[in-house]
Amino acid sequence: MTAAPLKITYREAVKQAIREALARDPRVFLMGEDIGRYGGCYAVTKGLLQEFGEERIRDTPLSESAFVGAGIGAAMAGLRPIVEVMTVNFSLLALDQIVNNAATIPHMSGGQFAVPLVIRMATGAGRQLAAQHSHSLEGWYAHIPGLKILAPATLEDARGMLWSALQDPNPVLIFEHVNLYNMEGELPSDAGAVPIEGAALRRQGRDLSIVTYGASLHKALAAAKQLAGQGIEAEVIDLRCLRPLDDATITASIARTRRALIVDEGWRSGGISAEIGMRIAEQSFYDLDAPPMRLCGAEVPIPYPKHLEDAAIPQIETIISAATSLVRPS
Amino acid sequence: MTDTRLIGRLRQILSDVAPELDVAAIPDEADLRNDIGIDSMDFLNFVIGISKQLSVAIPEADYGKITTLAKCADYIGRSKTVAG
Amino acid sequence: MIDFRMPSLGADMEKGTVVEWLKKPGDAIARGDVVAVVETQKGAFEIEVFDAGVLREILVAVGNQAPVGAVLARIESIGAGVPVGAEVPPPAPPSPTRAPPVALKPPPAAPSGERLRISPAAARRALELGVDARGLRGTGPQGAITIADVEGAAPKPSEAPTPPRRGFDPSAMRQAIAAAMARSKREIPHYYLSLPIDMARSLEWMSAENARRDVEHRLLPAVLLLKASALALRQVPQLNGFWIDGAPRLSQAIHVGWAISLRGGGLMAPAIRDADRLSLDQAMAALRDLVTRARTARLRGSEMMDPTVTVTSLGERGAESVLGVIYPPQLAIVGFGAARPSPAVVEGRFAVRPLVHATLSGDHRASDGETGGRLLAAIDRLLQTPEAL
Repeated sequence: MTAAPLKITYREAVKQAIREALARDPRVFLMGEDIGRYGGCYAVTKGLLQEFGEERIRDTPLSESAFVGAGIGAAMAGLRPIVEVMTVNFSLLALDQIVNNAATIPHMSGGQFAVPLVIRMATGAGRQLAAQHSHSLEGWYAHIPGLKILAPATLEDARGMLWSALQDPNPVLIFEHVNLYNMEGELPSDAGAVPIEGAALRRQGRDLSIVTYGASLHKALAAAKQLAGQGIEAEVIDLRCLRPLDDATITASIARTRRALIVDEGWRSGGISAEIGMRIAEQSFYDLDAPPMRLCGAEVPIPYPKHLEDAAIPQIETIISAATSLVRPS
Repeated sequence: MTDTRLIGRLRQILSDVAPELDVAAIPDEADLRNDIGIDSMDFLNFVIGISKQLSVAIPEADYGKITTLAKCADYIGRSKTVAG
Repeated sequence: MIDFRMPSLGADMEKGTVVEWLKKPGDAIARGDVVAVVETQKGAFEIEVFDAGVLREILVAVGNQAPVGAVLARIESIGAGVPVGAEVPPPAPPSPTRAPPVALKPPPAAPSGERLRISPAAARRALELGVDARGLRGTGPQGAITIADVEGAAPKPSEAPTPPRRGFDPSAMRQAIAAAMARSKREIPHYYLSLPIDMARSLEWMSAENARRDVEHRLLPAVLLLKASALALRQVPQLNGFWIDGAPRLSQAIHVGWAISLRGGGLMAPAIRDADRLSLDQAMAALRDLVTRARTARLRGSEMMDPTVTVTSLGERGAESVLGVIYPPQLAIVGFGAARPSPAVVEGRFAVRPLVHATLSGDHRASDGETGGRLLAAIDRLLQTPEAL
């Protein structure tokens, strides 16, 4: 029996996922800056301290390297830590722990140690938080073997990816786009874990494939809706998982549409879009009826003023115009 | 009594084996090998067709009892009765 | 680019009519695929290719006739294949119609350095459709030629004329047989040998075997004769092959042309390939398949080209013996008469035994009676131990 859908926000869906994990598995605990008394900088964890206590909801000092490292140790010792890092920008302070330790220990120990660690962090622009809080660096992490990189863009994935990530013996990084927290929608009240591999086809179309993830997914879907009014049918792929990439879904889509537009808030040079584009060139070359196209963040630090911030990242209008130029070059 | 429906089935089987024959024109009493020119390979294919479509396996020793369509229908009719 | 030519399906064939194309331009072709059906005086044959690639252009349309060796179609090669077949096709006469195929690549070393701007998918489609992309106006990004541009330029498929019915014209086949047999008797000095063979052991063994087997796996005497002939040819290889350019050219492979008489009149002898290496069950299956396809005009061209020797068996109701006419340029034909209960001397006493008269017609240019005699003796020996066949 399918339970009645609930009206819910992305923030609440993430919180439900954390609550479920804490309730189901005593090895799970949450750790990060301002997650307890303050309730999280994006208010995701509000109320959890009262419900689960200080043992399991742990406020940490402002030292990403220290608490991510502590999370790695706890995971190796058998716990299932969920570490929250405020934004991906701050995670750079823990880069050594994530890249040199978490990603390598299962390999360097010859499989003797698993690191079943989950790190959640916010990413992306759109909240006028300026250059040091708004970048999209998940593509960097997708470069690292040993990590699994998730980008839940829907309520189902926000609700369901965490539990699956905790079951994975390897470190999993979950990137929550800041602009999604307030997104509201319906979710079955019994929604649960979802697979954390593979992309999802969110819309079908015959004229081009828009490959994207995170908050850009919703812009792409809105753009696709408007494009349909002009007779252009866009297929929209939600990558969901940036490492490993689901090549099969992308190539199958391009085999149908013969055109690819990759939409990504990250910077163009050396970004995840470059990786996807090259894979398309390698695997779909003879299916392409037009050069693969990227729509990325402008190569500037994300600006503070609203109009400049908007101009620096892909928007519905720019997706429409890129798609149109790809399908109907003038 | 000659089972005309069964002979019809046999004609169909024979036509699959020898499509260039006008099977409708073959008299029930014609000797398939001597009169119609069915050779041993065609005949074997005919027997295989009977086995597949009518579920009657005719031993080689009985080939002499099924030299015409009528005799063949008779043979099959009897073996079915015995089996049934 | 590989030329796919009208094959020679026997010494007597001069021309053929394309009655069906089973592949169209752009279709991928694997080695061994049947691409066309060609009608000759001996009926319709399925013609295979021996190269992998993409069918690029059809030069002889359905309903048109072309001489042996004429280019029927062109195949874009992917990996060189080796043409097989007993005979090298004669040089091609000028192809009937059409301009030479156009290359997709831009003209080499154009001084301006200008390259054709075409999407990879459109380039592939152009290849498939045989469209010359050079003249097209591109509507894609930066004026590139797209799939839509290519498809728009492709000739609309015209109404194909109704293909002639498969089958054969008995009088045409008569002509073909006449030509081949006349050539044989004109050119080949035949010698003839014969040997009665006691089939008692073979037939008893087969009856016992068949009594055990279900209907579909039963054997026929023909398959024993086929296998025995093929194995005997292994022992006497001088009779397996062709007389070409004034010299015997022996074949290592033993592809037995099995003579099949058609009820509408006429005869053909398509190959059972590597008959010496087939088990009796395999040989039986091959024989059944061949006869069935001969009856329905579904033989392959290569099956007509491959035989290295012919075996003809009159079956159980025919004449006592057959002195065959060699099918040029083969070197021999083995014949078997009907098995009949006959008086025979067994261990110094008269007895009634099922005898089959085995005969051999040999090309005296290539072999002598002594060699031929050894072949018949080998067949006899082999048929005395049927379980070993």
